[in-house]
Amino acid sequence: MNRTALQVIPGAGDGRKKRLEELYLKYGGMVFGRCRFLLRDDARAEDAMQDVFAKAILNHDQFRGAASPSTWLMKIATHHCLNELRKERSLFRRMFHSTPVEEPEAPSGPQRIEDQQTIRQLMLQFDSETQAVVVHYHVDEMTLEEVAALLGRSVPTIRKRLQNFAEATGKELVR
Amino acid sequence: MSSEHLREIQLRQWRNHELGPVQAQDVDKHLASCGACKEKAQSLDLEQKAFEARIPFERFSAGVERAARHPVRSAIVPKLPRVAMALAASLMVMLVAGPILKSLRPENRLKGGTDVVFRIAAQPGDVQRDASAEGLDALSPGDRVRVGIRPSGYHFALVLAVDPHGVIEPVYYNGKFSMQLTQSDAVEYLPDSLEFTGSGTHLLVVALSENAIKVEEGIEAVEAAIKRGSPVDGPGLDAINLPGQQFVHRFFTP
Repeated sequence: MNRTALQVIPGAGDGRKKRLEELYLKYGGMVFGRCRFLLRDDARAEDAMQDVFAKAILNHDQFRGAASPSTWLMKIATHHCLNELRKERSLFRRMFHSTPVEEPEAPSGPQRIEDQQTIRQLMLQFDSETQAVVVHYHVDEMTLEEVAALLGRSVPTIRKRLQNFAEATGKELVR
Repeated sequence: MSSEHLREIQLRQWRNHELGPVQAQDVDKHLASCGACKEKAQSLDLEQKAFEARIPFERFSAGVERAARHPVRSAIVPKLPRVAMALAASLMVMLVAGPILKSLRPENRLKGGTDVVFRIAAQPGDVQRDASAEGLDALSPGDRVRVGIRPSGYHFALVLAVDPHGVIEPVYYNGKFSMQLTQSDAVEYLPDSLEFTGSGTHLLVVALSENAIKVEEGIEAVEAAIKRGSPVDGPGLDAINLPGQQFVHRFFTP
């Protein structure tokens, strides 16, 4: 799989529509699920998902072969939503009414949903890089090496971030 | 999850045909004999089906096209080519932005001749103007801002932008740290110009220091200063708890 998977033809026409449809069918649920998991609001998650795909399309030349399209999109989605959450926590963020989200259709059963929601709550008190590390490691179940490669950090740095998270929350480092 | 099971990212890659033939075959083999992983793989299909039921393709497509036409950008975006701005800079009249709250921060003493200056212009070649000495300027749509620094002994600069919602973004920095300055008696302009997006009052914070400052520490210090400040007409700002000297200018965008 190469970057052409994310390359949407400029302009209008059937070719562009077809490529968008491929993205929709392959990655739509995955990206929307990540946005929904982090933002906990359907409307905001949909907006965020659109922004994520727009970013991916506009920046597809930055996609590196070391990652797969799935991991790259998850990275963009995670980063984008964590930024949104940071804005939300910002002192001057205007208040808005949000629709509470029902429990997402997270993969593989109620216990996993509960674990993921616990992780989501715990990680919010950490800096944004640790949050991204925690999501990719504990939710996406990437290896230390995969997270390091995806975020452009060393394995010891990722391990240290996870250790800090583990020490503060009691969430074990090793799966 | 036990390590003997497939990881979620592996299943996603398998589902999206991103694995090599050997890896894909391993996953196929594992799924044939592992109910838990098979169930997990099916849940990924359900996730996609639920998405398609919730958001039809036409809505998805229209939303993504709209977002691509108006991409989310950080608070400010470098715009002008360096060469054009360098030429323009030579014609600039320098304006000294007052260091903020120096009476509250006696430890941030002025170094002789240290200046931070701002210039505003819409396009290369347009008439430029100085930023106001009062520290607040109203910008017209398309206006861009250039930041100039005469370091006079400070070796590092970190420039942060605060948007009308109080969201702080690093603008000029080097990796995780503030950027190194070239020592000069003249004002050196930082590369590119800056355009603010979104309506309201934006702040530009220029933190000069003798040693490199972590970007994260700079953001935290500004965040803390905002929390202590009075939010009148956008983010208010108390003294910024960083070593060195800080300059702040406000820009209002319609």
